[in-house]
Amino acid sequence: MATIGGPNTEKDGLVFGYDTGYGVNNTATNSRYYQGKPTSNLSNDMTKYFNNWSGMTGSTSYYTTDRGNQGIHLITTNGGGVQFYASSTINNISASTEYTVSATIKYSGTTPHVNMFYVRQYHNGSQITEGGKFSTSYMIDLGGGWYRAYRTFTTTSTTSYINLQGYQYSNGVNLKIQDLQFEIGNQLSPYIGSLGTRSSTQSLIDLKKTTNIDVSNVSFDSIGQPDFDGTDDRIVASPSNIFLGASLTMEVWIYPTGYNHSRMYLMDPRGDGNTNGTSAYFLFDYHASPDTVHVVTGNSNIEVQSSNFSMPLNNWHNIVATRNGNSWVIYHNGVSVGTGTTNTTSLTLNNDFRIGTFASGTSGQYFFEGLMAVAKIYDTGLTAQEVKQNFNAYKNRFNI
Amino acid sequence: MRFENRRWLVVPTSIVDDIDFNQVHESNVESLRKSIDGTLTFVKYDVNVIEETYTETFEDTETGEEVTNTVEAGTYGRPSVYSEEYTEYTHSEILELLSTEQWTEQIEE
Repeated sequence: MATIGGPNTEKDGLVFGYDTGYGVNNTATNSRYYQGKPTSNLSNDMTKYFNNWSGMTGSTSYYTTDRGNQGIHLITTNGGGVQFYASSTINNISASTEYTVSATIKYSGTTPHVNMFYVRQYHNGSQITEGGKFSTSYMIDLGGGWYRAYRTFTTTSTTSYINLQGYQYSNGVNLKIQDLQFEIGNQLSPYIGSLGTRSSTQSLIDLKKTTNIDVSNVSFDSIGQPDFDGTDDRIVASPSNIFLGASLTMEVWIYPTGYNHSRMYLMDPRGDGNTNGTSAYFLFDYHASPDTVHVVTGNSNIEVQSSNFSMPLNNWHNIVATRNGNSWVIYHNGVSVGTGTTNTTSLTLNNDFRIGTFASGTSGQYFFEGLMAVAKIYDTGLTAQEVKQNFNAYKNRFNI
Repeated sequence: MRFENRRWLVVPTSIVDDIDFNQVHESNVESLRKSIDGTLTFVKYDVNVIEETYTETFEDTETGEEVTNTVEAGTYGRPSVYSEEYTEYTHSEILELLSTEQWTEQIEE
């Protein structure tokens, strides 16, 4: 009998992992393991108005959203003009700085006017500019008729405060708007609540919910995915007493965008607090020209190396290294690309587990460049069948 | 081009106390990457480059009055630690710099 509830992936033995949800058309962020990039929403809940003129008729009303907060429903029944909502004044705005305004909307009938949401900037009591206006070209389809609409807005060199407001000018508008957000930067992120903040450890949630994952030192792309820029970006996890011994598996889904070094590290469990931090470890990296994946273990730096295989840039790749006893197998997209043997090095992770860099001192080197949507560690050595099963469960998300 | 609006500023580690970490992507002094000899580090930030001065005109929705605003050409978004004394890099330029022996230990293959 078929099951419902997600892909058929191996979960036994999983001790740490993250999944950014790349390729998943599911916006229920509350139930996902990736909540969106860290941010602060400078906007509070909208207040409804129906300040009409030139014969505009209709109404505004509040409704309760799925999150339990307040949305505004506008219906217009005659032409003219109306201001139908505003947020409270936002003070302490930075000058000459880019911000992103966004809201979740659903509409039927007349397409909303661009002033459905926009930013009005004031200084010394006078409006000095406006922008960040709604456009159907800047919407993410959330399904069910709902969209996340967004625009960027750059403040001028002088500014005192900002207002977010909505106006409409046509008959036949039937519009719901909720989850208004105003955040610094030019990247949209999921709604975090009225005046809410998503910290760097509330963004990416460990699949086991036992390890803190800190994304304060990684970049994010235009759709909010963690994006390693290759200069100093890394994700740092803080596991507690995760023992990695004679059986383990390391797995990543990566989208390399450049080879800024001859090698780039995917995982490096060494760091402050980890047992045998300098003498016992499992480094997981890949080399360019030719493409090979390596696992370096401590105690004489024994290295397991895959055979050469094609791993073109700007494509998704599934890379897995499994260990059963002294035998290692390296897989690319579910297919074995190399085997090797090592001694019986083990490691207990307690802190400072770095993803996307070589943990040399506090600085790090050999930073990964590109996307890494999934990273997992098991304390069991997955079989070839289980590796293939995991690959098949994920490959459609990555258009493989 | 990735990170088109991002810039990297290489500075001496002796001035890291002057960095306002609210203005850069790095989170604190401990998060900074340093050169191999420890004398240099860098911060990164996003800029908004206005190539030519322009004037925008719009109608104030509430008053109906015409409002004009002039935006001067320039590069906006640089942190307070920025100085022409230090070299600012684009993404491709900083990657090239960081791949040198000054920043990355050469590991024997």
